[in-house]
Amino acid sequence: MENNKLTDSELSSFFQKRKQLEKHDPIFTWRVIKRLPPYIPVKYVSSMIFMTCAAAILLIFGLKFDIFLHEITMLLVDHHIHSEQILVLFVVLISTFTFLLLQAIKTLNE
Amino acid sequence: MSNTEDLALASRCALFDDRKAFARLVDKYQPGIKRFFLNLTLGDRMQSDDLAQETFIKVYYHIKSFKGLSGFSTWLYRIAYNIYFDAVRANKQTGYCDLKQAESITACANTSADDKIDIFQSLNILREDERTAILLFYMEDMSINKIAAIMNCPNGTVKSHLSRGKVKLGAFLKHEGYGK
Repeated sequence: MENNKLTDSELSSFFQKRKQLEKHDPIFTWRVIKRLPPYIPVKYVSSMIFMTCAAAILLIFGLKFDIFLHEITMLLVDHHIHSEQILVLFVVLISTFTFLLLQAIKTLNE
Repeated sequence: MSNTEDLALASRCALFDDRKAFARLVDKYQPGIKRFFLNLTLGDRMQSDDLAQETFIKVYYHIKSFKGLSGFSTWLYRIAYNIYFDAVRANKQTGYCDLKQAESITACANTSADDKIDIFQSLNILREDERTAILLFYMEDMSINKIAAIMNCPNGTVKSHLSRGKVKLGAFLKHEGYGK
């Protein structure tokens, strides 16, 4: 039995000589990633919610936009807000909305 | 890439489902895992690729259970080891033999040069657990502690697997003419 023993260095040398140098294979990584469940990032979901809400608001108020505009103007006038201020308020609101919409589109495109 | 970086990448995968971080881990460990399976399956490249893929998929699904108590590589190889043994159990192929058989195989062996001795033929004479221990120790240069963690057994068991494996390999390789 003792005759059969190889020393540690002999065995190490045997295995090291035969160590297969597996190359890094990008296709292997791609195959693994492809088998993972679909990726649904949080920002994608939040953008979708935002877009849906924006579309719903536009739909609701867009249909009766003139009534809505009249009502809001009357409301603001009742509160002694001048027409210049109403205009500024609308510009700010529209700018904010446009900015948020563009951000959402940008996020979706990423 | 250090163990800290592995931990950082694993955390990114677990917390943010970061696919790029996961791809980096796959990139880093795929050569070692593929080689480990290639040797365990005695050169079956197709099966070893499949098992390696299964390993990384399982890692992805269970990455939240990685607590960082052991090194990422230890945890990864442990999953790989379990996957291999599940596969072995699924299609039971006992390709090993005992010491007497190992010696008898060599009866008809020719005295070829050292380099011509086939590693897969040599590994085939070992039991699965001996083969795993021998491969992790000599091929992947892992410590006995790490191998024990991977194989989920005490250090003494790993040492006895290594010892038995060395005796069998010694018998086989000597008869094959290794070192002459």
